[in-house]
Amino acid sequence: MKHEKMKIIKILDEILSFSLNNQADEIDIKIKVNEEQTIIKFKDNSPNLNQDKLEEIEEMLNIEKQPEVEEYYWELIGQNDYCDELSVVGLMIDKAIITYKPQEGLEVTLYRNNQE
Amino acid sequence: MNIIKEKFIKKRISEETKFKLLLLYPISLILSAFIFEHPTEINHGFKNIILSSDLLISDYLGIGGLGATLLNSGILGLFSLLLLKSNKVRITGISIAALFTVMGFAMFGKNILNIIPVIIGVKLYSIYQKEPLSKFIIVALFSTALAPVVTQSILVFGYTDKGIFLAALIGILTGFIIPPVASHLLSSHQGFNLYNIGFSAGLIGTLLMSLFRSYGIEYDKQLIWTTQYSQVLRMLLLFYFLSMLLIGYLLNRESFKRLKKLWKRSGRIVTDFVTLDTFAVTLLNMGLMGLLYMLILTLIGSPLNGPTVGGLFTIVGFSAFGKHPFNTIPVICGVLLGSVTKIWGLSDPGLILALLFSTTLAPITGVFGSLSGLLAGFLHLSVVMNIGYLHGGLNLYNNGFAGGLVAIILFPILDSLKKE
Repeated sequence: MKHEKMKIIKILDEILSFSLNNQADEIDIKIKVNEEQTIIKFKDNSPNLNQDKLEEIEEMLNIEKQPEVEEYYWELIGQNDYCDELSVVGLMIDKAIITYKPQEGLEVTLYRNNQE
Repeated sequence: MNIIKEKFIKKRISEETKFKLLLLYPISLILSAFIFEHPTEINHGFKNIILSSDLLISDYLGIGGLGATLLNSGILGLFSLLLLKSNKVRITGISIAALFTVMGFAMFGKNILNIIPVIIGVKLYSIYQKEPLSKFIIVALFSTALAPVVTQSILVFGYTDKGIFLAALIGILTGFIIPPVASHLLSSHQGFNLYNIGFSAGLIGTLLMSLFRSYGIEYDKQLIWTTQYSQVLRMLLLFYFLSMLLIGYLLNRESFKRLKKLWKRSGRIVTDFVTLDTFAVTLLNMGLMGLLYMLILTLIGSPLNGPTVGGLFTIVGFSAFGKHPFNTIPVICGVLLGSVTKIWGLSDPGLILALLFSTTLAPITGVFGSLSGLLAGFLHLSVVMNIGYLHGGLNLYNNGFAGGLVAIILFPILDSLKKE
């Protein structure tokens, strides 16, 4: 798939931007690329995420994958420091698992399959 | 994760149901064509539409009459929907925006003859990229903004086999280059110009027109603007917009509750209301926006004709993808302010179209506030009235071109002034 590496980098940009906007000051990222999929594990220490915000994160990241929209809009994400584009990340990935513990922070695992 | 459910229960509508409901709109246009006019008249008018020059502003009502214009719009709407369906593209906000934009512009510039080469060009691009057409289908539908390139080329080269071949070739080439240009240009205005392909098509149109002019080819300005069909179009549009409200309400009786949340969204690309707020709530926003902007046109004394109905359809379509009353009104207030202080009055066709299509800059209001939206609209009017010369009317989305330039200049300024 064309620009696959750049798309992964853009997803990371957006997640990082989101996390820093939520006052996180410690962030761990782990990326595993294999033949079938790319897995991005992301953990931060963002404090005090309220229920509304968590619901929004889950809703945005679990939007159905839309390759037809991704192709046109992927270059836009991760470029802006006050507009969240998590919904675009959502339509670029196949699955998201989100956990949040107020004392530890936010943990997000994103799965992006190579085959559509 | 322990999530407390919202009071509004999202009822997801199946793709099949969405498709069937949207099918109502092009089909009702086709049926109404035959209610208003005899098939012989429609046939004659349709030929005129196919053979006419399609440069801005070519009101098809003045070229082919009411029946042929409605038929043309319905056929292109049906074609677009079937293209989406056959390529298994979901009915999301952007696909609804593309559908209604094509139907709208099929009233002043697009027809089945001039859009096909451009779409073939996009198809060839997808083959070159070894990707399915589905990934580029949205771009393909919007890229028909440059359809007049095909018609104008036929008029220049003549209605011969060679002329038609060359015109088709230019159309295909145009379609081939749009996808990468459009994708790249999104970053330049950061998603603040909703008609991004209008901006891309404006630049490509400028390049083409510059080439044509360097070989001595020049197109005459065109203004075909009817005023006698307002009453009948008003009735038709009332049916259209009220049916959206009714369907939206019937699909989910709680839809009105959710509108408040939709109206708080910035509208910056990508704000897909269908994905974020459901199809039912989106239909409510579309219907309300259609009624609101039809009322505004009535208040300023504008006729309903091909271009203005095209503008209304485009607004309604993009009310599934970023536009709502609260982010568009400040922008059109900027245009109205311009109508008082600048050289163009409210009866000027260019200004009326600028009023409708300036809503491409709605995200500026959504992110930076009403005053910024007002400023954007005020500037947009001047730019759009000055920029058409560059592409000689080849780009039907002239306001998208102007909106892109305004957004590129305004965004960094507003961004630097915005407080943390």
